[in-house]
Amino acid sequence: MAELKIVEAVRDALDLSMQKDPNVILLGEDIGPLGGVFRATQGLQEKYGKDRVVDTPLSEGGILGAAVGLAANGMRPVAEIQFSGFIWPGFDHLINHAARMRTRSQGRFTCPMVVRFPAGGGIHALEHHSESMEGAFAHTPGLKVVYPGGPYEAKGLLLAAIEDPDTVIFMEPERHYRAIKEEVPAEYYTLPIGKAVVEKAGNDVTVISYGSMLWDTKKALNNYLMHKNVDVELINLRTISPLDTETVVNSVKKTGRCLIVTEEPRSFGVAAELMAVIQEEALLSLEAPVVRVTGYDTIMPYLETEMFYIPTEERIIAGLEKVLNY
Amino acid sequence: MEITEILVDQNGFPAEMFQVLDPEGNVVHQNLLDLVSKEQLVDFYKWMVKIRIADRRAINLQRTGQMGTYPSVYGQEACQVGSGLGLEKEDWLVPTFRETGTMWCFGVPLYQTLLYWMGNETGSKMPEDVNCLPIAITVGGHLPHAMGIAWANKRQNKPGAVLCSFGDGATSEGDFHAALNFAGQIQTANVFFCQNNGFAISTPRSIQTAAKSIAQKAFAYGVKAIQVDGNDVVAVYLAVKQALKEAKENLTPVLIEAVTYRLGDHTTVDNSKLYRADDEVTEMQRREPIARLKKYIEATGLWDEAKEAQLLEECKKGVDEIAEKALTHAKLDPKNMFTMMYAEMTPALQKQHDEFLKQ
Ligand SMILES: Cc1ncc(C[n+]2csc(CCOP(=O)(O)OP(=O)(O)O)c2C)c(N)n1
Repeated sequence: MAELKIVEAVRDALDLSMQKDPNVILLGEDIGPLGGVFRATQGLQEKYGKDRVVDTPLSEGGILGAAVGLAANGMRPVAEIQFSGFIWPGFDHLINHAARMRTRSQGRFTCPMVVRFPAGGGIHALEHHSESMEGAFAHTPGLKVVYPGGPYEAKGLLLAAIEDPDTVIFMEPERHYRAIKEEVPAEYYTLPIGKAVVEKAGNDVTVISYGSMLWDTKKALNNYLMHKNVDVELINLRTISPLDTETVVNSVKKTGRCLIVTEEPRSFGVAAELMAVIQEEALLSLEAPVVRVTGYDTIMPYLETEMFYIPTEERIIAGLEKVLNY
Repeated sequence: MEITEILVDQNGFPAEMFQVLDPEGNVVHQNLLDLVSKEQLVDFYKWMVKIRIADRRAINLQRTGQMGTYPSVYGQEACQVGSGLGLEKEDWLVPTFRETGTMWCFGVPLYQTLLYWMGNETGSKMPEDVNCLPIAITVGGHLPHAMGIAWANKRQNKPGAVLCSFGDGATSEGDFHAALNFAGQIQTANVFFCQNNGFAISTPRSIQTAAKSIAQKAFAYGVKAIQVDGNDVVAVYLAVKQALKEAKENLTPVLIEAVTYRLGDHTTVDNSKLYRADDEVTEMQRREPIARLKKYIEATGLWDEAKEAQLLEECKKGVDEIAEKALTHAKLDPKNMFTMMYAEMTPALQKQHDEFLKQ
């Protein structure tokens, strides 16, 4: 089996979906000859032509609005937004149209489209290139939000997203695009949207993460567990909305303790939702308050100080010890 | 008339691009050239050279790991100098990200711009006496803000016009439309200054719009327009001056399309060889703005090799000093991310701030 990086797995999924379904069309800024600023679409325009891999004018409102129309009329648009912070000029189309097309037309029209973009910080990029706003999308009824961690799941989830009958926001871990390599099957396969995965089973404490922070969390745990004897259960959410509450709740019922690690701003986000679900469904199993280690309720700082925003190994371990030693 | 003739197309526009000096340094309109003094011509030249040297230095700072991603202004010096020096102190500049030179000409210290690209927020804090918003990274989003600033000037009877700069790619964003439409309808002193450098990253100008020119878009909003040779600093300067004057006197917004060419990569993380031919770049090198003005000022005895040598030496020394100032500037205290959020920290932020300091 070939080892692929995340960006290569994404490309592979796009390639296979275009082979399989002639209605799949890619649209975005600089995705043609350049292959996207991260090269996720490299070679695809050559292979499928300018009519299927489309360099659009520079307008996220145009890209996402057009995708709504394409999807409503039988196509399977996969839109690339260059960086997370540039999706907002098109947000109206996601909230007011894509997410509501099925409801508003009472099922007469639907919006099976995918919106892909890199998310998270840590690559010393400029302003607006590093945000983690998954909470805003997950808070929009009608959207599904997928945020894979590694190459294997990026491919399987992206193929599932393109097949999905509704709109899927597909976030890709920017600082791990090329940093993580995994064995990825060459064939077409899908992974279920809405299913988390238990990366490692354990009995003492549940640790939940996803996307970019999954890797920071794994690294922190690996270092910590080299000289501490704690039986950690690690859950990788893979999908943020719909949330796999079953996997989360079963795990917390077993361990009684839970740490959540995310890069998003602290308040009103995915971590907050997980804490609410655990409180609703596993309160009596808890032996300690659930702890969240997150970004801050601040603007992502410029590159010189961005590392102070992203949860560090020290913060993750401090959170773990807090929940263990309660 | 036949039914097939009732629809009109865009072929009436544009008229010829406005030019004062042609690429060989020949005078196209002597009466217009006479509107600028000899001293001004030399000043334009010195500024363009200074900016090119500063720009190279900035690229070098990035290459040596001392600065983040940087968008070069190489090839666009005439646009930068013509617009930056065209502004008066009372005016506003609402800049896009490719404006190292314009901002410098307008009074934003260069070390601050370097500091910004080094990733220090202090670089975005403009001096109190310079009406300049922080650099806009989101393409096109700042155009309506420029309109709002001009509107506030109008409401409060403040002097000054507002020059907003952006690229050809930005004209595809909905905010371009909204800003020009508002300015035309509410009648504000706005100059929308588009540096059409041929590209938006890899995307050529032809992919942005099927319109023959960007300038012609102004008419749909009741806004005046000019298409100017963006490599002719005199033409750019005169166009900007006239636009600012009319905008202020008559409250008529103007769209300027300055046609230029991005000779460098989009930014220091781009590789333009992937999407454009070397031949095209070589051809465009021949029309670059500095050589053009140099031909004219040399031919007219305003400039010579001795002056050139002296200028280069001064610029290198000056830019080195500025770079040093940026490099040795104090790092930002990371608690700034909490303290700069609101006039007063919210309780949640205060708690996060306190925990942050404890670590
Ligand atoms: C809203 C938004 N979308 C995408 C980007 C990414 N991006 C940065 S610069 C750029 C191209 C801008 O082209 P243009 O407006 O012509 O200006 P130029 O870079 O040529 O000066 C793009 C797509 C962005 N910064 N903002």
